[in-house]
Amino acid sequence: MSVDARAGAGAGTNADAGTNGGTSFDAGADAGTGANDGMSADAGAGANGGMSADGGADAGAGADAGTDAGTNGGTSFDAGTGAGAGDMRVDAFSGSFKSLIGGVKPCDWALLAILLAATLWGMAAVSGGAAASAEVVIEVANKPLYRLPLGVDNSIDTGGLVVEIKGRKVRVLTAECPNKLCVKQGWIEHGAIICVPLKTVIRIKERRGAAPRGKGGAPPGGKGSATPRDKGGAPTGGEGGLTPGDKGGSTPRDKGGAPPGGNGESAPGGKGGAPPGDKGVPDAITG
Amino acid sequence: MQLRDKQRLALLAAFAVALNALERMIPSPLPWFKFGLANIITLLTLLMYGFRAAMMITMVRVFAGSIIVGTFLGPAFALSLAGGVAGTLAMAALYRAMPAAFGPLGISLAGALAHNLAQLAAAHLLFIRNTDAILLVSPFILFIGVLTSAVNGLFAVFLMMRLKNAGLSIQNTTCPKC
Repeated sequence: MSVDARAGAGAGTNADAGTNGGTSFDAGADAGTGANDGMSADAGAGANGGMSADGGADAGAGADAGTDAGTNGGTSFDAGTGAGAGDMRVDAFSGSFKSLIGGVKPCDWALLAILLAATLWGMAAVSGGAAASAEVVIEVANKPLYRLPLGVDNSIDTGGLVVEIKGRKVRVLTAECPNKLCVKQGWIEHGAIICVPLKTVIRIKERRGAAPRGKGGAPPGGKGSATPRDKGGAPTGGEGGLTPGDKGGSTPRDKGGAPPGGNGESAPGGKGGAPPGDKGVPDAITG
Repeated sequence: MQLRDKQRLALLAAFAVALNALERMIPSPLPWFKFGLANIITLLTLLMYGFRAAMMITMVRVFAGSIIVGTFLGPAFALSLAGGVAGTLAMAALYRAMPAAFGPLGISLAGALAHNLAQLAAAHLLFIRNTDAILLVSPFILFIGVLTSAVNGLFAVFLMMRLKNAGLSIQNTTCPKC
């Protein structure tokens, strides 16, 4: 009901027109520097039918000196905007922040909390589930000889080379090769161990058509394991993308992370595939 | 609906289209990551003018926006349409069902959730028929959506207050110039 025709940097007090039937022209200039040293808190608040949003703004440097004389029957908004030109910024920020939080209802916060929790849980579940389905693929002379679940402790001799899986880690226990670099590489949690003399590649990879974990493409917070972007990297191909370590040329089957039918920007996650600079998997070509 | 309201709706639609286009210029950390700033306008329209106006704004944004940026009738357009319609429907439904319980923040959250779910569903139906891949991405997308829509919702709270300060009081006054 009230039109606040504010005149910028005036001084001190609000000349409120008072009892004009419902339309009060709040020609005030809530000048911060002037007469009101923050003490003056909206003299007219009492008669404003409750709706005046003065509270937030007046915390600012120059408080609202508006003597908003009572009778305007309802909504006079003297809030954040009611700043003189001098301290417009201060008022606008401090005032609006408070009133901003004031404008959020408890149910809003509850919904926010629920959604955050649910999506975080979903992310954890997804990455956990994906990690659980990881498997160890051992290829000898470009042929995949073994596919073993990463989660099950195991030990296997692939012919001159003993691979041990334990506690979701993989290592080469012994190898009949000259340098034994693969043995020295020790335990790996992701990536691959490649032994060139024995033409053996030991890889840890996801099962579900997903690219192997790559920290490079990980979104914020994604720590390597099953980042969604990497998932999207090979949405249609069953065999997943390319581990950086596979550049050793051992697996002709891998053709990079590009999705066969990746349709550009449209599909969420359908873009990109394994990024070119996707490293962070400490692969070593040994042997 | 008064002429002034029509003018305001046109202005709001223009804002939505402009935000939609400007948003593409913001460098994005992820290819499909978007703030959805135009949804602020949709939300404001819903709160000020109701469901039909909000849906109209959404349609204008989706169609005009896609024509401007050149994705009209492309895959991005389909996803945008699905998300926009679902988001607006969800926001209107929540607002209508529980107008007192939720403010702009909650409505924005609900809208973004529906928006993202619809986009994921559309992406699955139209483009990527790999349920596993979709399921794997969705929590992450939904999480990002919660964050961005929370920010958008706070923007909307802020704007609603500003509009109440400036606009609504004018609206209710017999002002000869308006």
